[in-house]
Amino acid sequence: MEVGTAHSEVNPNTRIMNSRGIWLTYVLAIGLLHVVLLSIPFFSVSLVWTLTNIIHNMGMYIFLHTVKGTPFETPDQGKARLLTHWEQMDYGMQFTSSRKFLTITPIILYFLTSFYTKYDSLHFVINTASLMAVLIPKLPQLHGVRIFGINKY
Amino acid sequence: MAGKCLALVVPASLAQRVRTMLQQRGWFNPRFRVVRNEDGSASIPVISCDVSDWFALLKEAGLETNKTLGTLTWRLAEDIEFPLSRHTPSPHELLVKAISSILELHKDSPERPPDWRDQLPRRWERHGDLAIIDQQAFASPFWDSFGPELWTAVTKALGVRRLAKQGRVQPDGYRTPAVTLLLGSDGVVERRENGISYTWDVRTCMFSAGNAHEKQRAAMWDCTGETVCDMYAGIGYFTLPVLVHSRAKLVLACEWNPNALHWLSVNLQQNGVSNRCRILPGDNRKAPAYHLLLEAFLIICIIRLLFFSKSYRPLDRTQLTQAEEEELIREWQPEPLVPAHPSPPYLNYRVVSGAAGKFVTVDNRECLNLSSLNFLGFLESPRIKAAALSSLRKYGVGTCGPRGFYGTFDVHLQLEEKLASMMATQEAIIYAYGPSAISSAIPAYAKRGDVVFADMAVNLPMQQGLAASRSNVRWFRHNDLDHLEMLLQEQAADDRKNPKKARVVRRFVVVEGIYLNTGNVCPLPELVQLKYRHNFRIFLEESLSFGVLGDTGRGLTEHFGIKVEDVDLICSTMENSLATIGGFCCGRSFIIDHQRLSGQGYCFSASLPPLLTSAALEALDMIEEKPEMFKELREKCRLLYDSVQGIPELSVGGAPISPVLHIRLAEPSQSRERDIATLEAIVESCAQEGVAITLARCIEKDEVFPPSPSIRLAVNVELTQEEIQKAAAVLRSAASRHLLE
Repeated sequence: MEVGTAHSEVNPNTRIMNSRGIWLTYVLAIGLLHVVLLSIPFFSVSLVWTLTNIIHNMGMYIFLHTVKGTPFETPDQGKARLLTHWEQMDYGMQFTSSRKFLTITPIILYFLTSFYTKYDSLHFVINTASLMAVLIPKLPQLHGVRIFGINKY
Repeated sequence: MAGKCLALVVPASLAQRVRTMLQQRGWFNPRFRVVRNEDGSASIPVISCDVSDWFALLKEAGLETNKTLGTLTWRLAEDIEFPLSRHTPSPHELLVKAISSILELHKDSPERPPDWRDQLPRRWERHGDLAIIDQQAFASPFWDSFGPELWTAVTKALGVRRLAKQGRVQPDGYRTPAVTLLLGSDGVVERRENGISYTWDVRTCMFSAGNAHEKQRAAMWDCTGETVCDMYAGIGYFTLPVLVHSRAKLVLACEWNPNALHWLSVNLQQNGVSNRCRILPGDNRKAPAYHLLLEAFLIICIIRLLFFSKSYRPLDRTQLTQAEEEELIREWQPEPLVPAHPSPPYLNYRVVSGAAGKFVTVDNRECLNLSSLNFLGFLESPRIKAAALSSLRKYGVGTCGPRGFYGTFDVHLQLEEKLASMMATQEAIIYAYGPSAISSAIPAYAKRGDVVFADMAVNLPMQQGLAASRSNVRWFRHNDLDHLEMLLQEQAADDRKNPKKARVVRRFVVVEGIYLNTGNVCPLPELVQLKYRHNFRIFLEESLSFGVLGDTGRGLTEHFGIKVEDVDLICSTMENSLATIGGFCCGRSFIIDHQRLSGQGYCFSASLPPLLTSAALEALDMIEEKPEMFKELREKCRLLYDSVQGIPELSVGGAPISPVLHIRLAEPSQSRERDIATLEAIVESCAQEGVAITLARCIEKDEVFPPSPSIRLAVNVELTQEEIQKAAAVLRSAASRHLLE
C-alpha cells in the first residue's frame, strides 16, 4: 500500500511491509530510537544498545506477533481477526523478502548489541531472550499455531 | 668478648670513610668493632686478602702508601685485639641454629643430606606476618618428615607467624602463583605502601614487592580529570596509586582472574576509591564460547534464509502424484449446461400484462389478485404515481452513484428522517433494493467467529446475509424459543469453558416479524425477555409486518407494545406495503451509522432513484393520514383466514393477523414435484375462475431448509368482503375438484 494512491487490497496489512521505502523507514526508526536513547545522560553505551534492542524487540513482538486483526475496514468478514500481522503478511506466504528482512533485522541488531555490550553475560541473557521472543514466532512451523493457547483469542 | 684479627690502621678522622668503603667491597670483618687507639689512629678489622688490592682503595680514600702525613700514616697490623661487634645474629643464622637444634633432637633419623645447610631458605619475602620462602628451600623429601615442628621453627627464626612456599608461576594466563601455605590458616595479607593499603591472598594472586618504585612513579603522574585504562589491573597495583595519588577521574580496570577481581574490589573499597573505578571483568578481547556458538548458528540461519529458502504458501504443501492427478481427472464428470427436465417450469409460464394491483391480467384474463404482496393497495395509487412523476421531472432518473459517492439527494435524507421519526428510532438508513437491506445488515455486524442464532424459516435474503457473514449459524426450530434457549445455554456453557474466546465473540438472534415462508408471527415479547437473560442482539426483519401490524402500521414492536429500543436492529423492505423499491434499517445511531461504511449494499450500490424515494415518502404520508386502514387490513386478514379454513385435504398455515397465508397439502406425498404439480393445478383452476393466486416460489438449491410446497395467499386492503369470500370459495371448489376426485 502506498499512501495516497488507490489500491485494491482487501486487507492492506498484507502488503504494507512491501511498500516503497518502508524498509528504509524502519531502519531509520531504529537508528532514531538509538540516538534518542544515547542522548539520555548517565546511560552507558552498552545499556543504550541493550535498551535499543529490547525496545525494538518488544515493539516487534507486540505489533507483529501479539495484536491480531487489522486497523483497516476490510470486506473480508473478519478473516484476519484471529491472525497476527506477521501471519497476514503476503497472504501467509512464507520466506518472502519482507519476511526475510524482518527476520534478519533483529539478528543484526542483536549482533551489534552483543558487540557493544562487550559480550557481557547479563546483557547476553536479556538480549538473547528478547531475540528469541521475536524469532520463534516467525518460524513457518508456528504459522497460525498458538503454543499453549498463548494469545489465542 | 674479644678476638684477634688482621687490622688496618688509619687516622681516626678517616676511619669512618674507609670502613664504609671496605664494607662495600666486603673486606670489613663484621664480627669485630673498630678500635680507637691512643695515638689518634683507628684500627679497622679486615678480612685478610692480597695486600696489593689495598693500594687502590687507600689511594681513593686519600692515603698514600708508607708515606708520613704529618704524624699519621696507615699500616696493616696482624693479630690485633678487637672487641666483638654488637652484631645481632641474622635471620639466616638464627635459622641455621634452629634447624641444627631440631636435627640434634632427631639424630636417629637416617639419610640426613650432607648439604642440608644449602637447602635452607636463602631468600624470602615478607608480607606482614607471613613469609614466603623460595622454591628451592627444603627441596629434599628428607624435610617432609618433620611437619609443623620444622615450620614453627622457621617462622620463629624469621620472626613471622605464617609461612608459605613459592612455587612456579603457572602458565594458565592468570599468572596464578602456586604458593603453598605451610603454616597458618589463610593466605590473606595486607601491605601498606605509599599511603595505600593492598590486601590479597598470596595463594591466588601475584604481588611483587620489587615493583614499589614503579608504583611510586605511577603515583606521581598528574592525571587530573583523565580517564585511565588499566589493561591488566590485577589486585590494583597501578589502579590504586593512579586513583589515590594521581587524581584520575575514572579508571577502567580490565582483569580476568576472578581471584584478582575479588581483591581488586576489596582494595578499591578499602582505599575509598571504588566510585571512580569501573571494573571490566573477563576477557575483554573476545566473546565467550557460548556466545560465539549462538552467533555462528544465527549467521547460518541468515544464510539459509537468504539463499536457500523458497517462498511457499503454508497450506499448499501437498504435491499430488501423477497417478493422483490422473485419477482426479478421470473422476471428473462435467455437468450438462442445460439440465435434463421433462417439462421445464421456465417453458411453462403465465404472462401478466399491466400493473398487478387489485386486479391483474394473467394470460389475458382479468383476475382478482391474491398473489401480490400489495397489502395497502398502494401499487396503483394515483397520489404515489403523481409524486413519483413530479420527482422524476425534478431530479431525473438517478445518479448511478452510491450514497457516499455523489449519490445522495435531499429526498434520501428526508426519507431517512421520516422513517426514523415514524419508527421512533434515532436513525434510519435506506437501501436501493429491498432484499439487500437485511442481507447487508447482517454481515455488517456478524463476522467470522461470531455466533448467530437464526430461525429455520427465515427468508432467503436473510439466509444469504447469514452466509455472507461467515459466522457460526445455529438454527433453532421455527418459533421454538425453548429450542433457542437450549442453544443459548449450550453456548453459555462453551463460553464458561473458554472465557477468553467468549470475550471476542458476538451473539445475534435473527428473526422475522411475520415469516414470509410460514405466515407465523414471531413471539417477540418472550424473545426480548430471553435477550436480557442471555445477552444477545436481536435483528428483526419486518418485511411483512411493517405497514401491516400495529395501530399505525409500525410493525411488530407496536403490535406487542414493546419499546423499539429493545430490538437492536429493525429492517424491512419498502417493496410490500409501501409499494416502491428499496429497503431500510432503523435503530440507534450507534448501530445504523456503522452501515454507512460497512453495509455492502449501501456502499457499493447506486442510490435509490429519487422518484422511488419520493414514492416512499408519499406512501408514508398516506399511512400517517389514514391510520385506520390497518384495522381494516387486519379484519380482512382474519376474514380470509376464516374463509379458507376447513378445505378438505388442505391445511392453512399462518396467523389470523398475517396478510400472508400458506395453503399446504394436509397429507403431502413423498414427491415434492408431484405436490407442486397438484398445487399448480389448483392455482390454474382458480385462474380460470378469475382468482389469481400463486405458489410460494423458492430456489430450492439455495434454501438451507426448503419450505414444503404451498399456495401463498396475500391480502390487499382494497379487497371487499365479498371478493375475499368469493376467492376463498373458488379455491375451495378448485381444491375439491383436484384433490377429492
